[in-house]
Amino acid sequence: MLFQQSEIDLIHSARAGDRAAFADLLRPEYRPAFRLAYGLLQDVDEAEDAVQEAAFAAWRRIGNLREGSSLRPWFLGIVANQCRSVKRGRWWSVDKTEPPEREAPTLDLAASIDLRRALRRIAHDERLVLVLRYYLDMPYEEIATTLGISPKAARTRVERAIHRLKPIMQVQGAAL
Amino acid sequence: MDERALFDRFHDALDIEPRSGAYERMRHALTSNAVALRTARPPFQMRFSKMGLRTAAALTAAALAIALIAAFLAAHSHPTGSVPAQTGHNVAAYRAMITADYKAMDASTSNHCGTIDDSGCAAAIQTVNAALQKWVNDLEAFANTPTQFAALDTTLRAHLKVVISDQNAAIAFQKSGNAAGFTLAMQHAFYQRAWVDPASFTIEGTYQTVATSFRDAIARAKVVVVGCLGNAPGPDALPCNHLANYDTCEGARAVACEGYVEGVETQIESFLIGMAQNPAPPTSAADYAQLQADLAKADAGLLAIHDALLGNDPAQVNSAETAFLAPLEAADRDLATI
Repeated sequence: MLFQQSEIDLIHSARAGDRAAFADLLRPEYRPAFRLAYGLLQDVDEAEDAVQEAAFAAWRRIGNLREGSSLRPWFLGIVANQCRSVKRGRWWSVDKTEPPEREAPTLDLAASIDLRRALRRIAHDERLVLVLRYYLDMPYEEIATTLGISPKAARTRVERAIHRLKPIMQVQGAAL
Repeated sequence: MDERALFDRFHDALDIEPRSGAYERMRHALTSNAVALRTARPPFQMRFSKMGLRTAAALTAAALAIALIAAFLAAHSHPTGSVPAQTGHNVAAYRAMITADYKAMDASTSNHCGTIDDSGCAAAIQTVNAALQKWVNDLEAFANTPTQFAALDTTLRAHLKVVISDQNAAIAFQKSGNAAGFTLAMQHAFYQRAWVDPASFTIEGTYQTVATSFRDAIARAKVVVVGCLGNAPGPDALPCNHLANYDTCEGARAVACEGYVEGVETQIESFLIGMAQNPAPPTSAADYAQLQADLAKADAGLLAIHDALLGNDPAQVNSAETAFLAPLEAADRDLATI
């Protein structure tokens, strides 16, 4: 309760033009935002850049944050949009090579590489729901709030994305 | 594979923590005005090979041809001449045009013009301005803009044009060695990228939901418009209230006024996005369209204030503030009746 009150105070200060208050507001959101960006972009530098640019976009749009609503889904929605812009730019770059594979922290290195490759081959919106669900561990209700859709639609999108991912994994010789 | 296994698989494949100091770097950028202006979505980031540019041009031409054919078919599919403004084909053609022009604009950008000393700035601006001008031409040539996007279309054209004029002004300021003018022009041009993206994505139908219903879209506009024109503006309405009360914008105050202008530009864009995402019921459609048209006029007034600030012309700033205030008062009346 104390934390919620503090967040409300910070939102009021940020809306009144206090950049430091806005930065404080984003402190607890940085980690999930970075993980979302990394899950979508699979590049640490690009993920950090995307979160920073999303923070600027959020600052300009702080007035869009509804009274009493939580900051996290709103900010993650902006991060997701920012990551989509990064991917759009990359789409045009015909000779850009895929980023080098990061060493996975588990023994099943090949399976991790397969999953990351498969994620790069599906559409942004499909990748987004999968990262929100299975990497950020979000319940469907929170995914729904982030995307501005119903929980039922969120569940359907996740199921469709899994359905899309499976055959790609199979072509690569892996299973999901 | 069950849900638990999927969680494990994704975590194994992706688990990573932010690097040490990452948040602090972002905080510094957020709280430092100078850095903020530079890093807030640099619009000219060159990342394309010549082959990439040729491919982009070919794909753009193909997409545009498809869009034009679709637009032609949509405009001529009703022999009576009364073409509904919002046929499925028309919306699809309009969206295809927006996507093609957005991509062409994105492909034309580079990493120039961060400082007045950049010798490659003028050439970079000519490249991106050509793409922007083509976008403007396409919007102006498009027949039967879908009704739901009419106001966004009007404002998008205006904002694309202002980027062109800002960037041309920046070239002139660079030639004359006017660093303050160069910074003001490029600041607004940089900011416009953050304006153009949400508008484009909204038209494409992929932007996040801003308002949940027609009533919600109206309520959100009301908070700022009523607050702006009243005696006790809330925090959201303060930038607008400064402009509506003819705050002094001379000398060092010009930068503050520019900040108010950009803040209100963002607010009006958000209202228009929320309204585009939530069409009105038929009984309110005319009033809703009028409200959006008045907000678009207020936005044009904001761009006029910016132009006057750029021209360092206090009398013109006052007259532009009137051009902003009058349609805002009209929007206030629209909101009272809708």
